[in-house]
Amino acid sequence: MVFRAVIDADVLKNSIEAISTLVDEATFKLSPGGISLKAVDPANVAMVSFELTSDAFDSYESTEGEIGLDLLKLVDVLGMADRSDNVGLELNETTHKLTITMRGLSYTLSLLDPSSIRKEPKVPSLDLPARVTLNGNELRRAVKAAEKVSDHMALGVDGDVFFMEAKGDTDQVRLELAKDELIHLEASGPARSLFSLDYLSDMSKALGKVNEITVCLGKDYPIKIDFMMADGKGKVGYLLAPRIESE
Amino acid sequence: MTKVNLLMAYVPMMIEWTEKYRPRTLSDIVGNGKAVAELKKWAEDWGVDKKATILYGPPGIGKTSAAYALANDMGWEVIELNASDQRTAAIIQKIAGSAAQTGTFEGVSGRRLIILDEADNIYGNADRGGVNAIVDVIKKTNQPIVLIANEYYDMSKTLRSLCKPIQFRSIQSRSIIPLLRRICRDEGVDYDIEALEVIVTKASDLRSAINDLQAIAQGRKKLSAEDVVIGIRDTKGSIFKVMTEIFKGSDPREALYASYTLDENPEDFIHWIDENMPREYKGEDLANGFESLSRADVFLGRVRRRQNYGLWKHAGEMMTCGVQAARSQEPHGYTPYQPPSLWKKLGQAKSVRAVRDSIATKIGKHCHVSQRYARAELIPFFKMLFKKKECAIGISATLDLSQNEIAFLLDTKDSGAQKIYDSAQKRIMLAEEHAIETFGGF
Repeated sequence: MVFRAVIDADVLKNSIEAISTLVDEATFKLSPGGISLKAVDPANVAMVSFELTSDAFDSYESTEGEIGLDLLKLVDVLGMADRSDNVGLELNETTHKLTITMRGLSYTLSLLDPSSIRKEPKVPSLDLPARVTLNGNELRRAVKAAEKVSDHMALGVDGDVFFMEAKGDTDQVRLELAKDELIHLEASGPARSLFSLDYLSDMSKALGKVNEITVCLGKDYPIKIDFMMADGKGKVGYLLAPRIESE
Repeated sequence: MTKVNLLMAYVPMMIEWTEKYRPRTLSDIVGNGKAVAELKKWAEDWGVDKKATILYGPPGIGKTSAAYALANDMGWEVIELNASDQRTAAIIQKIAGSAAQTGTFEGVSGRRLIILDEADNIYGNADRGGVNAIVDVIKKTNQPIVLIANEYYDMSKTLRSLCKPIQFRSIQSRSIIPLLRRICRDEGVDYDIEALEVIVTKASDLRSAINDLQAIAQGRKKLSAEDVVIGIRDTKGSIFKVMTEIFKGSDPREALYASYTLDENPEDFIHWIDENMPREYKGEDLANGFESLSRADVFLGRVRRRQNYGLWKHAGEMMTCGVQAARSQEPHGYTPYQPPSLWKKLGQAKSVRAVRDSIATKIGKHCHVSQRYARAELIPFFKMLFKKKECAIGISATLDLSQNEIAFLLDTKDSGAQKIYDSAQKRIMLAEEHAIETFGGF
């Protein structure tokens, strides 16, 4: 198995952080066309999928294979890189380690055994009736507001309005965005589902940096949030299971 | 009770038959028909109320398997929190709490079974908040939860009151044989039925029977009763034999293999070697022996930190072969091996703490202060007061201290405590008699 690549530190950091917000360790699939991953959080509640094509890298060479990585360590290591740095990645298959180089620094990171990492989740095909495209920062703002009153929030589409609401024991918050305030909205029916803010808040860390995110919703169905990164050469998708409303 | 036993830790690359032949559906579960039916009914009724269930019973008889098989039968997703995860309050709240409140990727109607293995062993692994966190998760859950435990009454009363108990019992040996036959057939191993009978009678439960079968039969084409005799799982008593093998034997392979047959995990086993090496080795040998043992301990530490049980293998090699290789002098005579004194010391420290705490409670009640304050600030004064016998008797009578408590405050184990206790009790009796005389007429 060969894997040797050079990439812009900022792109790599954003990519890994978008994943590590949900999972601590994950198995990356390597192929000549790029790297990809699907991982589920320990509670089986949230999933992240990720793709980065080979042209997002300054140089890229890889055969088919997979490597397990401790993402928290990786994020930590990448913290040493400046935004403009280039980061070199090289797999040593015999020692089972990944060497990360940046401006003279060289880290050797032990790989994890992929069989010790949670298996890739089964994803049902979902037909979600509502689809909204908006600035990631709007969603982040809604999540922040909701956190002030509750630990869960509802997201939905009612006619031409995308709404988010949270009810606490005493207080409540509602945010509405009409079609003309959004980049795009289409819905074949009403949608409303409840979600845990713990997870939305983790996801919105990455979402807040993105100009355009696509949110798909249904009635008591999971939420799907997709966005592009690295000038369209990278793709991140989140899937979050809905919270069950207590009677 | 850990589920990764020593035997399997040494052979990480092969598939465990216990895993390979784990029942996929409830109807494949061997034995425990009543419990399985109860479990099934619990699952079918689940939703009317959202009560959790506790499956309890001895290890290795299919409790965890039943939970997984149930989930499979019901089409439920599964998440498991077992003892090798860190089960602190925060992690339980985060993982089990989220899982219990949330639907699946199929929507809110999707069911997820939450399995909390070794639920009677939560104190040992995490802070005390762990149990409260579980209670909280169970109270609020919107998803089915199964707790698994060996000892029902080792769990707190609160926890028990929230769950429907289902008892699993040991499986009779003759119900295990058909399963072993099936495994042999599937693995292409010819067998004498006597061989299986021996395995079943020697093994303590279903899991160890399958493990033993695998250890003996793997790599063989034919299994006869003679093969079983050499490979059989030794029982607790024979840890002494293994030690003889290590300390007095000359073949490292024999020592290593002998340790495979033990049903003792390396974390405990290392204490046995640690305790007994000084009885056996002297001088240079002793130093070299401990050098090996300390390396084994380094591996155990890595296992704990990285949760990579494959490393147990190296710990095992260092503590058997390594320790054996350290010996340069001829072994001599009989050595009386002892169980690790560390365990005894830990046990004693625990009972001393219990005595101290009960004194603190009594003092606290009398002086209107907290137990903690009494323990930290007042007990030293009481120890001073107890130096005077008259004073000691008076206090003992007032607080109604037990003999152990008096001995603790006196810092002795001799009969002094007994005398003070007797005098104090006499004084209590007199006081009562006096009270009866005085107030008896009313």
